[in-house]
Amino acid sequence: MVKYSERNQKWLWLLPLLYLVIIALYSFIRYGGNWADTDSSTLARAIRPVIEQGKITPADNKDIYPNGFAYQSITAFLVNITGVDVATFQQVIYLLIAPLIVLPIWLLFNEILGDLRAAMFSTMLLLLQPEFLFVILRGSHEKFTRTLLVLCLYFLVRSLKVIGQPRPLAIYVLLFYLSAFAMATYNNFLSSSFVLSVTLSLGFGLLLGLSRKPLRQASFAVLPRLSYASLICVVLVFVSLFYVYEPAQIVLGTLKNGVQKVAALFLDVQTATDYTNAYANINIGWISLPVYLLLSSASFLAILFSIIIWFRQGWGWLVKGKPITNQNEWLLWLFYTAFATQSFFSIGFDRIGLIGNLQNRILPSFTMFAIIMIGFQLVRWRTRPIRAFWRYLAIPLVLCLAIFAPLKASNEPFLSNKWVFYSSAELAALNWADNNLTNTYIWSDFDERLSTAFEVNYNSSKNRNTFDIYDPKAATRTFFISDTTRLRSLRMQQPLPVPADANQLYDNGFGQLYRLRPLTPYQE
Amino acid sequence: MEKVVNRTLALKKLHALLLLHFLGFMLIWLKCNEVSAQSQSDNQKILSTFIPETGVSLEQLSQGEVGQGTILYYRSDVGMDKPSLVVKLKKATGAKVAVGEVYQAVSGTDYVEIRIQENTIVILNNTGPSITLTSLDGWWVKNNRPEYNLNIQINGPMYAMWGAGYEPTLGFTGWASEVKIAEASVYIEVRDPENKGVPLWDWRSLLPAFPRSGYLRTNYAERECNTTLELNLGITSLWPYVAEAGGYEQPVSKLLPPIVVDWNHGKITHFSELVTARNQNCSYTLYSLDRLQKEQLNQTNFESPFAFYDLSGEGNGHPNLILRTQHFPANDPWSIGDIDAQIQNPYPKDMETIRYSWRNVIGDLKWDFKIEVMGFQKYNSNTPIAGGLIHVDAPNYQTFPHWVVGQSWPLVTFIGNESSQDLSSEGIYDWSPREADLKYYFGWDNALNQKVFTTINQGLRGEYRLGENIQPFLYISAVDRKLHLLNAEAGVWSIDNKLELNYTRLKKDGYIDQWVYRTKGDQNLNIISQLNVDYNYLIYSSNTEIIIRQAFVKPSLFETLPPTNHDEWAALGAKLEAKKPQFEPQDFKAMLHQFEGPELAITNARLQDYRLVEDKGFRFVLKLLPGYQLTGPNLVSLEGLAPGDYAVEYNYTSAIFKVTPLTPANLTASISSSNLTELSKSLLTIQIENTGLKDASSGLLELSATSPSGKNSIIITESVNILSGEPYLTKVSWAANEPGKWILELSLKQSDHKLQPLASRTLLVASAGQTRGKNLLTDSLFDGQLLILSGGLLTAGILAVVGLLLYSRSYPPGTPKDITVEDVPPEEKEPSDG
Repeated sequence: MVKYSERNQKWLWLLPLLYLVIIALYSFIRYGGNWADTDSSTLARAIRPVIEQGKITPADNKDIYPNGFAYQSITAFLVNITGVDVATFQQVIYLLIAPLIVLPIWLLFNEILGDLRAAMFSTMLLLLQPEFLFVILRGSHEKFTRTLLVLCLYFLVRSLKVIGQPRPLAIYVLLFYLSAFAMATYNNFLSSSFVLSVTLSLGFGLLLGLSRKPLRQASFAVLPRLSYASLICVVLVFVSLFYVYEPAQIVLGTLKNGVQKVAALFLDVQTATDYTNAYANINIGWISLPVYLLLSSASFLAILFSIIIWFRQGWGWLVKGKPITNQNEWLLWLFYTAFATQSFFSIGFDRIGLIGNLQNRILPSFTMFAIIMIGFQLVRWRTRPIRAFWRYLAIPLVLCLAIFAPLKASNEPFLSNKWVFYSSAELAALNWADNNLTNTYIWSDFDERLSTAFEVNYNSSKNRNTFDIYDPKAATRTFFISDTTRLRSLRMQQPLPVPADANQLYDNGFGQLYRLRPLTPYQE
Repeated sequence: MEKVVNRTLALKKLHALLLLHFLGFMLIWLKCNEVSAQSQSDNQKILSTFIPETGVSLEQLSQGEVGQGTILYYRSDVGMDKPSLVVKLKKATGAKVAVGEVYQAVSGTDYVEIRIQENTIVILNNTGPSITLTSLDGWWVKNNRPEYNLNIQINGPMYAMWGAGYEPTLGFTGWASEVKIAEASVYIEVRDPENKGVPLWDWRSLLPAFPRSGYLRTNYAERECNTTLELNLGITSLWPYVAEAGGYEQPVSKLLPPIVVDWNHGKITHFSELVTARNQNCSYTLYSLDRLQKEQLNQTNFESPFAFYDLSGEGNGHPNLILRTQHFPANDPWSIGDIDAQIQNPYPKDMETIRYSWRNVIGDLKWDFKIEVMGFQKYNSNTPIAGGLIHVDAPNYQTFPHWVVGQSWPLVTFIGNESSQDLSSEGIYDWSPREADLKYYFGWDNALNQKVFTTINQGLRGEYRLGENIQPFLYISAVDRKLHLLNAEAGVWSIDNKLELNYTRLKKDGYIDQWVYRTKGDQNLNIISQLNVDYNYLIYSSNTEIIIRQAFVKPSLFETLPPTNHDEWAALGAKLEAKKPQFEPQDFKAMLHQFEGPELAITNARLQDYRLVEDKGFRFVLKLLPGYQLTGPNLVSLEGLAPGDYAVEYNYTSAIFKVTPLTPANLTASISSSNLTELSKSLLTIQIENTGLKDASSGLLELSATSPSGKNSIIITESVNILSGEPYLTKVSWAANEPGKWILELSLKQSDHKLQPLASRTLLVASAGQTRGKNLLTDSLFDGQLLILSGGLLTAGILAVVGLLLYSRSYPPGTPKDITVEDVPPEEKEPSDG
């Protein structure tokens, strides 16, 4: 183990924690809690029936979340004991507790890197990844599933270290399976993707171990453990999918072909919810391509550097025949290879259209392994002096990345065209519309900005109204236009869909409701 | 050596684990794609035997005596110790009802496992009865008449209602495939109030919720008149509910026992309908997607009602009038059927289509005519069904035909069967109004798409009325002597696979007045002959001649609504027979010659572009070919005209034909608009006039725009006919996406593909302002916390930099000594083979 004498170093984990606390506070203050996105609203809609019916599978409910039940159940429990409403949990509380994920990440990084400072800086680098920040900050299960993924890896690595010591081994193995099963209860598809990564790591390890003598011992040291882990996790996911939470089968049932089913189970692609459009054109999503590239530079750099490091390590082991000196590095190298393979196939399937409306969600996981790869390099760099030039070059780079990450993760409206904020006046207008109209399609914005805000706060319509978004449906004859929508129209260079002669039904000073004039005997 | 052995063992272990993985994944795969394969061999002889358990015989139990016993149904080649079906009969002392419990083989076996224990048949390893029949009268058979006052509980998958299916090789399909073993699936009430041995009504409810599936949750069928029936009492006439074979529907003129079994596998496949919907003369049925409840007025949807009538009074198992409804109350979520037309929206108002098919003779599954109406009538009846146990909002059986024909409908189609031999138990399917542009009728579109109902199946003649909300009157045309839909706008008769007749109503009087006989394909190029009928003129034209006959034409010989009762049916049939045409349908000359009057015949001439001139008269283009000849009185002043093209126009007021040499189309156009602002929708008005005499037909109008930055875009393209002397006006909603000077250009692409510029206009679009940062900040910031946010971001950045400095600043000088790896042996310990 690492043997540093500096006593202060054991508090190094506070630095990334503090960083994430500031980011969480920034995200909260930026919109004052008035933000919403698709996943937050989907899960808010899924949580409320769980609270109302007191069942993890509410009967006859179209808002049931089919991929897992733990997030809704835990939130329902917390809502019941605290009396805080679901919207506040989704928009504020879960945002503010997100920094706690730093602790397991720290544990894992410290365990596998064996270097406190490298672990600290790797943790920091992971938090500079906007894709990772985005998924842990919003009101979805991902802050839990990512935490559990990290814990699974930690317990796996720990269990490998204590092979031969039955008692600690049993504890770590048990904790590993508990974490894996817990992950499956949050999200079956993320956990099945993890299982596949374990299996692929096993496969790659076996293949390389058999074909390269120098790798054999290190491979064979981890493969039995990986085999059991993979096999038992398959069973856990299977049980969870088919017996514990039956709605998960609905998702499989709706997928049209075997390719989609395999992709959903093993490639961490998930059914797109009503409004999600993850692959929206970059030029539409951000004010310009350079801005997008700049904001995403942390991810690109992480992926680029990790590939170089992975390749270099692999070349050394596989071609030059270098022996493996760090079992953790070998194990994580295998995991990186597995996730890279999954990413390659999931993105590839997506690009050629084989997975229909499924969406690729593997990038945050892959980013985590990319940072681990970089972490090993950071450890190596600590063995020799770093030139001042590189250090001075790195300072502005890290400063910029640390600022870019929260800007991207929070969809900063000055840079992003995907706005997630709303005003109380807009919410009041939509609530008025819902109270005073029935069975009406109400166009609310160019995307789900306001419909998700309504759902997070009020769940679904009380009067069977539908909030229409994107291009208005033919059936839509009522439109809500706010000052923000007008700004958005200018930003997007998209005309507002209301003709000048439409009747105005409502005005609260910030937003107005319009109704189209009838042009046929069948229009009212 | 030991190392090699260990390694071999480790490899074997790994192989075994990999195999287990493979099996695990296979299990998941199979679970995802559950496919059950079954096979069924030919039916065997099925026998039954009764085991008395209380000393009472089956005959006594059947007649209602107290006691219990078991009937074993078994294959002759297997024997009674392995019965395919077991029925336990029981009537308790003092009980009014008798109960029959039907057991089938459980999954994985082909027979019901039983054990005889002290004269009692014990059923082993069973999940309970699949069917429980309760006889409300306490007996099963009396006077050779089966008891049909029954309450029946079905458990588990079984084809016992529509929406399920059963295939011997695939097993159950539809809702039945989603029902679990022993799950309560269907509840049935059947009543025979007069104990005739023939049930009067049969009400079935699907019990599982199936919240996401549009399954029929109610099947109701009521017998409305007598149909001669042959009773089949099944395998044993003392408990007449188990059939040797059968399906879900009852055959014509028979009543089979309802329990149908796959005897080879010991599985009940069907519980057949006991009151057949279609295979009798008259019935009233409801197939609703919602479950009906007793003692309340139920809103119904989908096929409610589906009613069958025998207008002949002499039917022999088939109706000769069928009314098939598809009704949904406003915003019924189940009404999303046509995803494209409805754009995933439920119908915004009460909506129904009703198919009204009838036969001119006794019902035989063939059909002569159909009207199908679509409209927005609310159901506000209170119709008692099931002996008054249930009330529904749907019209009742007796008044339903009147209810349909007595109301106005905005969309009606009509079909006359001229030669099709198709059989159907549901009437004529073709040209459902749901094929039309429903978006317009729901108010989701501002214009009606008229390009529907252009083709039809061979042997059928169809007409449609899209634009008027009136009753579905019919008439017999004085011109072709066929039954037509009054006010139909157009129609088509597919005579064979090459030829067809097109009908058009040009005038507003409600009657077809243009017949075109042509080969199938392009509308304009393949005309063989044409007949136009105006008030005082009939004009026949072909490729070689034109006949203009002056005669008064009363367009209709007989007008009526579709028949609703025997008398109306008989009267319509007699009229159709009496007025039957004595000429071929395409013999327009024969049609013309039915009317007396002076006639001008022109040979070597052609007629084109016949149309009305608003309400003032009609006009056409006359092509006089070299060598043309005139025969007959001078109805049109054509003497001395040189060969060439002429515009001929008849004016009702002056009652004369005006003949003018045809001049080419001459189009002038203008584009106008109100003040335009960037990104705001405004109306552009386009007006085009044709001052030439030739119509500019089938052109493609294109309005394009060039932005201030030079980008080109097309605002609209639409097919237009710019008629001579009739201004064309259209309004286009448009929003410019940048401010400045826009150039709008209007052009027409004609059938020769030449692009003719019509007009150009430069429009000034005002700026809508810029995305002002201040506004965005005001809207998106919580109480304008700009300073805090900037500080927060900077602090975050500084923390990250501190992290970097902490990592890089104090590396251990020189050596990697302080990093140790415990788990991997050092390089020198790398094992070697052997």
